[in-house]
Amino acid sequence: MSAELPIRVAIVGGGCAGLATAFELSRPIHRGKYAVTVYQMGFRLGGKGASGRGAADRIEEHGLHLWMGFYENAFRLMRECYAELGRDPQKCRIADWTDAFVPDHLCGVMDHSPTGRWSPWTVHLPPMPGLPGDPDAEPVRWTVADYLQRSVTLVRTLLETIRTGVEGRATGSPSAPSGPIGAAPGELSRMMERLMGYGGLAGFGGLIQGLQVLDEVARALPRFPRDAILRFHGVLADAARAEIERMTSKDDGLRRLWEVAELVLATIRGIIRDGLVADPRGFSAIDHLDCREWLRQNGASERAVQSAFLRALYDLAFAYEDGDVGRPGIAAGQAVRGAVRAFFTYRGAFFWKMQSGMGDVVFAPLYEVLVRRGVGFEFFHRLENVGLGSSEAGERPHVETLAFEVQAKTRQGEPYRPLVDVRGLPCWPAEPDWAQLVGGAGMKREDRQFESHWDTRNVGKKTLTVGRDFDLVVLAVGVGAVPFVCRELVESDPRWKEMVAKVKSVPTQALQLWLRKDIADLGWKAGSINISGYVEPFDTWADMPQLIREESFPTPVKAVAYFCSVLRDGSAAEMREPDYPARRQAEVRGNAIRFLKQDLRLLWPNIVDPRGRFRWDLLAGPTARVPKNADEGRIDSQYMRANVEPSDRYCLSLPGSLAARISPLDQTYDNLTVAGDWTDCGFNEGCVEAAVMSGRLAAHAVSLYPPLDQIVGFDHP
Amino acid sequence: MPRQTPAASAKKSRARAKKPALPRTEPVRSWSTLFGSNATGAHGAAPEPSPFGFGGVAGVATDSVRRGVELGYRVLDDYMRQGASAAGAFAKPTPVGIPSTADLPKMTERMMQYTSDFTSLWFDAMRIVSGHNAGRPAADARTAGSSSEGPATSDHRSRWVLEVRSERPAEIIVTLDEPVTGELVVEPLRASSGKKTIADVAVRPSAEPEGPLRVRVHVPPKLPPGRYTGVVVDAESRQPKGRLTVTLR
Repeated sequence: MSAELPIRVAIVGGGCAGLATAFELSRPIHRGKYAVTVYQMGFRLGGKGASGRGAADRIEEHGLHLWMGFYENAFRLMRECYAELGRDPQKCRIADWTDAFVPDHLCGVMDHSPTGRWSPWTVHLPPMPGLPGDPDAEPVRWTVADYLQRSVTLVRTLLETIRTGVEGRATGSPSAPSGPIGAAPGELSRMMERLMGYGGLAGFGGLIQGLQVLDEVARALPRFPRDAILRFHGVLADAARAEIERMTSKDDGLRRLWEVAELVLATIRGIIRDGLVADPRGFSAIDHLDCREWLRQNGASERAVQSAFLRALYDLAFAYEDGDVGRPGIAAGQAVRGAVRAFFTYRGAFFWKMQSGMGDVVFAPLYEVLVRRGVGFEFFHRLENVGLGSSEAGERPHVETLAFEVQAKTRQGEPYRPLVDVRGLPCWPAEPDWAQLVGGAGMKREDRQFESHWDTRNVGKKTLTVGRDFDLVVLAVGVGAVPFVCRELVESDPRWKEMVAKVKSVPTQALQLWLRKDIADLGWKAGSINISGYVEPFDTWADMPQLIREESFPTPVKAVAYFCSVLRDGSAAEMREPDYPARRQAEVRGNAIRFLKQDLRLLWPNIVDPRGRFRWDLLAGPTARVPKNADEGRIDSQYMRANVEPSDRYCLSLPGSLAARISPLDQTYDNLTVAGDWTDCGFNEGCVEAAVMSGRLAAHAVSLYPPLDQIVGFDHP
Repeated sequence: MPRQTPAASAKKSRARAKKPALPRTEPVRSWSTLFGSNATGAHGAAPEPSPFGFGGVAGVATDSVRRGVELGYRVLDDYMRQGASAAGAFAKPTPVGIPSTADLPKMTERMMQYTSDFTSLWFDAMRIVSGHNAGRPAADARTAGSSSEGPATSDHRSRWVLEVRSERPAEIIVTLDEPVTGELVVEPLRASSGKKTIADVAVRPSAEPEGPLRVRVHVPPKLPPGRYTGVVVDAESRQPKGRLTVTLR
């Protein structure tokens, strides 16, 4: 412990961002310089990632959470956390990070063919060298130029694959693209002219040669006039379209490859046309445009921009303004940044699946390590207001008070112990431990909803004052909660007002099913998968068989399926109604019933009986009691969730909105910083990685540690 | 670790703690802009109109470069702070998580590289912002084979003598920000990645006003391909006067 008085840091919000900040500030390197306290509404940590164990130990999530292979900061955090935790593998089944996360290489999209037929398109994304979170010898310097070259190579690979498919499947795998042709700039210019001449780009041979030239040109862009490259690109793309569309129109597999190739070709054109290689803003230079709009501007066909591949990217980002699937929108720059990070920089596997609930494999270990380090946790604290103090002339403004409602107090004033033991694994419960709370039995009878914005019942108020109770504040609540808990800040600061107006969020919906048959028996033959791009209300499905062993159902469960999607937003008037959450929950229940009865059979043909009726009897409940009602009432034995709580809303990356985000490094207030995937954190899209990056940036803002070049992906085009 | 509660620590009065000043508050989105990689087009004797915003004097281009330079300063400052922080840490017992003394040479290496890179950018930026070479001599000579010696190329402003010894084809770029007459020292040329250097380099102005500028580059055998850059400084004042870049293919 440092001899100096510690700096007291109040972190409000215990989601990924807030806990990442706490993890950084409590590192031994600081020698106790920061006394960190996390203030958390309700009884559990995790924010949108919180999960709880319900009846039969079943895992109840806010939604589907897949970790991606480029989540370098998030994996680094968890790897360090597990290493420090030092669990005994003989006593705990999830002792190491490799027990917690397992590679998942198969993913897919639901494709709607021009003939109106839905079919799954599954792809095995190969393992890549290294593991996410591996320390790098040097900070990685990603550049648009590198991505451009990789994009050209990808198009060549796709065309080679299509050629193999068209010219003869007997030839086997497509040959790998050849290396650089090693021509000088003048020679390349002449080659471009020759290829653009009559017949130069005819046939696959001509196209591949054209892409080889484009590849070479991409390696030395400044040596070539942009107009000449764009003209060559245009001729090449037109020739490819004319050559390939006809050949692939009747083969769904080849058509899909061509759609992806077209999207990549449009991306290449856009990078060149918009001068992104040398733009100091990187991909952010095109954030004012919607991704589809930008691709159209750069020559992508309507069919390509409406393709399953692109639709899946929108679905995975819940990228629908106000939850309206008719209003898709994602900033082009962030969409491209996300895509290139996801496809070109993943390590180990494209997806990593958690082997238990997110609360159990992420937030319980973090909680345990942070408690060991001396971080304080104040549960049942709901933030009401961030009060600003008066500043002397020349001083920056500061936070003077943090006003909380205290939702519950513990008996004897002891710290609340939030975890439960599930066969040796510390887990979060689905409801609070009422026995620890003063008047807990009564609160349980009253059905207190500690995590609800609409349930404001409390046992008192608490106001923390700067200098007396805290020094610095890290505001790490969800973006949807900001208008409610930072009224004074939003009223007085135009930037915060603009941020609240422009950085929008949406509610989401989730459905978890437990089934008595495995997915092969249900008719899904493509293996365990994560698939997106399907119909609303649940466009994304992930097979989660790894969770079966974690739960204790009285009857055998053969499959666990998670579904999620965006949820239409309510009006401001609707949201003021006290029964709003219940009504939205009922709406999700209705959505689930409709989905099961109408849409699920396309994924699982055997989920219906010979007369086409949904087989409700295949749903497994957490109790041994078999409901008399064998019909749709059995949906209530499953888990559904309308994520309409302000702090549960998913942050969007709408075109033109990202400039309004506030950075954790913002210097406006001298004792306040922000953290969350809604902040300007370098990767401005809602996900665990963005939240952890933001949390690490907030720690940097407080302590200058970690150095910015260790926050992987912050310095990125 | 025992935890000091807010209430306990509040017993001692003190000035209100504030966040520290930050060396930079934005990400570096474009390394090519920041550190003058190939994309900066720093390869010709005269500035060329470029479709990518470099080499011209258009407002957008110069604005982009200015922003890049500003960011460059921030990054450099950031690394200087890191260096200072690390130096402070070395004076104390090494706790878990802090860089070990074994990291010091690596950190120094990186800081030297950043300094070198940034200087490279600065000269590129000045050329672009000013719109021309402003009287600065520059050379672009390529040699191939194991050895070459003697006059290789010259621009329209000066006479040059290049002495290049290299197993690999090498592109040499010398950029000086103003006519120089005094003695110059060239820092060892460092690779953009890795630890390899080209140490045997020299830039020697002639004592006579119209005399040739002599440049010597001896590339060690088996040096990997890459871009090696070093700063040219005035031997007396130690002020940067330009840079020397060797690109091995």
